[in-house]
Amino acid sequence: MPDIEVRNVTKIYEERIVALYRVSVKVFDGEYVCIIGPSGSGKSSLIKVISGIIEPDEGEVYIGGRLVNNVPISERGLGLVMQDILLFPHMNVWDNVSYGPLVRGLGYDRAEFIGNEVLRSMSLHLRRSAMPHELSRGTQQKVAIARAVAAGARILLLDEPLGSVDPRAAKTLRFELRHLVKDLKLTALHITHNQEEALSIADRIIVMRKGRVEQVGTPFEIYARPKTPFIAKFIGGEASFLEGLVEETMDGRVKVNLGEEHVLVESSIGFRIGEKVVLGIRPEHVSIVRAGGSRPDNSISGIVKEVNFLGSYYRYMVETGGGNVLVKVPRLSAPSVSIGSRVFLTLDRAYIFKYPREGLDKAIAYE
Amino acid sequence: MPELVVDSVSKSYGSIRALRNVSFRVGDGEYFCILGPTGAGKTTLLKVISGLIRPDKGRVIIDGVDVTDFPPEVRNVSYMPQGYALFPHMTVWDNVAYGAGMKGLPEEKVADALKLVGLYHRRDSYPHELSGGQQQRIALARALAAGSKLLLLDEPLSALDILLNIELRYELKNLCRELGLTVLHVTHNVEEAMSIADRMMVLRKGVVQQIGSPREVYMNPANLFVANFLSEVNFIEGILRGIRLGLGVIETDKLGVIHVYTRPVRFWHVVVAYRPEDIVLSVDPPPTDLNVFRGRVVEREFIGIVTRFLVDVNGVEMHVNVWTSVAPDVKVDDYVYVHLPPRYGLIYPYPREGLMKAIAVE
Repeated sequence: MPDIEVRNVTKIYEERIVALYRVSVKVFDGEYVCIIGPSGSGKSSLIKVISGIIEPDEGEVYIGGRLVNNVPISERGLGLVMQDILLFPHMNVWDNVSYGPLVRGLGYDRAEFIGNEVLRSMSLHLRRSAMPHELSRGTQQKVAIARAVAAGARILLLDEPLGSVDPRAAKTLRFELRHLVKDLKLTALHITHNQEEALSIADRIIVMRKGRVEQVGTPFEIYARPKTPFIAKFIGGEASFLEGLVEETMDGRVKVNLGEEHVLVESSIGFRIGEKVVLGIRPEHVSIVRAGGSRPDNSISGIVKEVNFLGSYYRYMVETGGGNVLVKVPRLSAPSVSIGSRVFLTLDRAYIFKYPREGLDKAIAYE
Repeated sequence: MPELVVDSVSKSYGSIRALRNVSFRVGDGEYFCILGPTGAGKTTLLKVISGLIRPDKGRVIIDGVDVTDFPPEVRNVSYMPQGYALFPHMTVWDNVAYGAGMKGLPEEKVADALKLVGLYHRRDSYPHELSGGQQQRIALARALAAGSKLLLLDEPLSALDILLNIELRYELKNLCRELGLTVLHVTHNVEEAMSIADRMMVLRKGVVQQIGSPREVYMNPANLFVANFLSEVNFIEGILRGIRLGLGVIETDKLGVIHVYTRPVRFWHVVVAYRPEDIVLSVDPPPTDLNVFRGRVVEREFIGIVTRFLVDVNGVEMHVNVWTSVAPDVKVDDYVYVHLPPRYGLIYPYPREGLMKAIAVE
């Protein structure tokens, strides 16, 4: 039985703003799931519906198999942790964490036991006398999570929990967060706009856009097999898109005409000859060589328009007949090309999509 | 044409020394990024250049004219403050027309600026009706409409989602280049600065740490702070026992002897820095004996283009970043070979204040 199940939830604000439209989501016992999407995608509305802060217009929410529509927030058994860290400022770490068990009437000994266990599991026991303002934001957030766990929550809803933490500290904290959830056998639903964070921490990722669920899968599935151009662009970042026409279809492959040139692309779905398609190309899946030698198989030609040094890698903007293609190459294997160089690009992998009805620009816009 | 010289500028607020003897030159048409953590003095520096703050000491020279004593309005500098500072009760048009001063700008200048940022069609909207990216463009249009050739941008992209930030940073740079502007762009975001700066300056606690092209600064960081601020770095402390044919022999506590290429140096207590992408991780032994270690994989983290490994080598935790498409097929607790290529190690004297203080960002 899933710990959290959302069935066909719709939420519309002011009779016209569609925050959620027929959203269905399952989070299983012990799972760490991230919801990712740009601002306005509905991810915050979804977590508010699950926690009970807002009621859906339609659809059901189940927690631990129990229908909780109309059940107040405090009785849903959830630990809610927000971007703005809400600790009692006048209480030290220990009092913040043991407050929940005491309020639940567990008695001092039991509260002491739970509080100690949680603090130790989060390596916070040495800071138990510290006041919140003496801690870094990352540590404050750990205390907020510890408090939720000590209060008895087995399911954590985390809304941008690392959003106000220094980015470097956040990189360490996300490991700790995942280990905590796994070690204590909790279930976590974590909202973030930071795709690196989601890829790193999640067992599964739910990508949302415009109030709908766009794809659900493991981090690698979402990265390696994006269902839509939007996901190819949003997860991973900086994908290029070329429009083309299907020239020929073969066993598992499609020959796409890009205007002056054509490429062969692998595809698991069928296309009609003459059909308009979009190729999504990740910058790290393109090989670049200076033109002049023999032309690699299945390559397209172009001219380097921009070269950027980004430390661990180089980024090249290459103008091709079908449009601009971005290429990223690790610094240690960078080719000797510069602005104006003629190059051949080989697509090690490209995603082929049916041409979106709303048009390509709209399909990949994240605002 | 605008060329900017900042000469020995200092500024204190009470006991806090926001800028200490800051000097640099920005050439005509250059895109210059000022990079540093919070509290480095970046905003103070922009305010000194724009004339909003008087320095305690030093001079600001624009196009050969010493403007240190001039008020902001005659300096011919456009300033885009952090957070945009759009007037919420004014339309896009009025924000651009009146934002720069009470007088208002001629209509065609306002229209031109709005067309440049592609938002002329939203001229009658109010700021709250626009997305974050559009608000950013309006603030930019307002700065551009004034017509100055020297543009000061304070964290212009920081309020945006990362993907929008990436898209707009290149747009911003290209627009400024087309308009022939000289730009000072303040940011705390290393990747943003590296992507678009012709040259950049790293600032820390009011003190200039290094000035150079992104490549120069990244490949040859002037000190441990710069090395660590630009990317995650592995530090290994050791004693330099000698240099043979350019190869430094360094005795370390847990890794034994390591070898790193170095110029002659006059210190012996050293810190060697390795960037995570410069360390080679493999299942099979690498074709060398120098700086090769066995390690156990502690974490494997897939983050898209790169897969990050944390490897325990004799009790030393090392971060190794590998391009995902060529990442070795190893799991947590597997043993791997870790190779530190001698030519990628960066050698620094061990800091007197201790390593943690030397690299602290606050």
